[in-house]
Amino acid sequence: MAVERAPGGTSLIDVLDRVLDKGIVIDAWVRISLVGIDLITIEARVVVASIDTYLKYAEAVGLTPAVSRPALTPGAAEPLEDETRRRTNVDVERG
Amino acid sequence: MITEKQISPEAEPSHADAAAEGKYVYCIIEAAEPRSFGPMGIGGRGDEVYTVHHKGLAAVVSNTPIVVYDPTRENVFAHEQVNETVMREFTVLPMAFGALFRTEEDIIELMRGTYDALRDVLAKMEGKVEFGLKVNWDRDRVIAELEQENEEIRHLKEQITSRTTGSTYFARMQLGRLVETALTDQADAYIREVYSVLRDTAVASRANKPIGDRMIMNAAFLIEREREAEFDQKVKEVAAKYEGKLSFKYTGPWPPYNFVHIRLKLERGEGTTEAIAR
Repeated sequence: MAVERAPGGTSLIDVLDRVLDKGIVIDAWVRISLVGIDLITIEARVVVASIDTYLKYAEAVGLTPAVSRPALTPGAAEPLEDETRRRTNVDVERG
Repeated sequence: MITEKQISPEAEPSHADAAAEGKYVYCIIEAAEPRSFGPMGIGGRGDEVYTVHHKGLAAVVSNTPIVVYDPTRENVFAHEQVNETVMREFTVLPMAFGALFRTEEDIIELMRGTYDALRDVLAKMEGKVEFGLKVNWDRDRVIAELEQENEEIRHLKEQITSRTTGSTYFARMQLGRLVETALTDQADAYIREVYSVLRDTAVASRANKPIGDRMIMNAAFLIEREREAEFDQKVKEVAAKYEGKLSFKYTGPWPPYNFVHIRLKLERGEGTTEAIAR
């Protein structure tokens, strides 16, 4: 049996194997500032998410209310702090 | 990437901005002139796929509502189809699935911040594409063969089956270990042989974790486009050599996902970029 080459995008597994975490990957959930605009990355690549990730993800798309989230002053919040606060919020919601 | 403003209740109290428009980014290429690749954007609306430029670099993008894309069949194929289309004419640095930006300015800013790294990796990927090669075997059949061919295993197996008194527990444990070791050795030997046939034609290779217990090799190879036919030939050669023993699943050309390793750690006010071309 001769082996035949199949084009790239025919098998879902082969595609997923590549596109989910390879190539140019932008770290999720880190606040950034581009030309003074506050941006946030979104983890859109979660297939089997941990509960924590799922909740963050759900919050991002507006499925859960952001409980007691600190008001963010543009250009003022520290990235790490924001990340920590976010986690804290998730814990509150879960508990 | 999506802006905080779009998803933050503090910044936008209403949920009406679910309809806000952003840009989905598929890959980065080198192109000076604006290009259009057809109405094949992610999201099923038939959005035109076009380029956003910065100093000779271009991001291939399409308009999209700002939503989080789940990696469904439809969505990942849309992402991949665009990359494969662009790849026919350009060397691409593929983005991982799901990168959204709010505006073209943000994308330009990203290219500005990572310019040197992108240029460097693009130069390394110039004229190269990726091929996938998965090698499977029939594990049970290999075990049956080992039981025939491996003296030690055969002997122990005979002992176990012929013993009429006493426990065979330890003998069976020992047999299990022997078989396991022999399987690993056999798989390693096959993998080495397959690599040795293909190595000279490839620029680079990467071994990924095999999926499931039938797979013994899950590799990606970076190949110069002009040596594609030669690589095809080598794969066919090696497949013919192990016919009946190993089955090969050969795919490509792919964008060089396995060889473009760029993690962007974006922080407030400054972008730190780490880029390694492997």
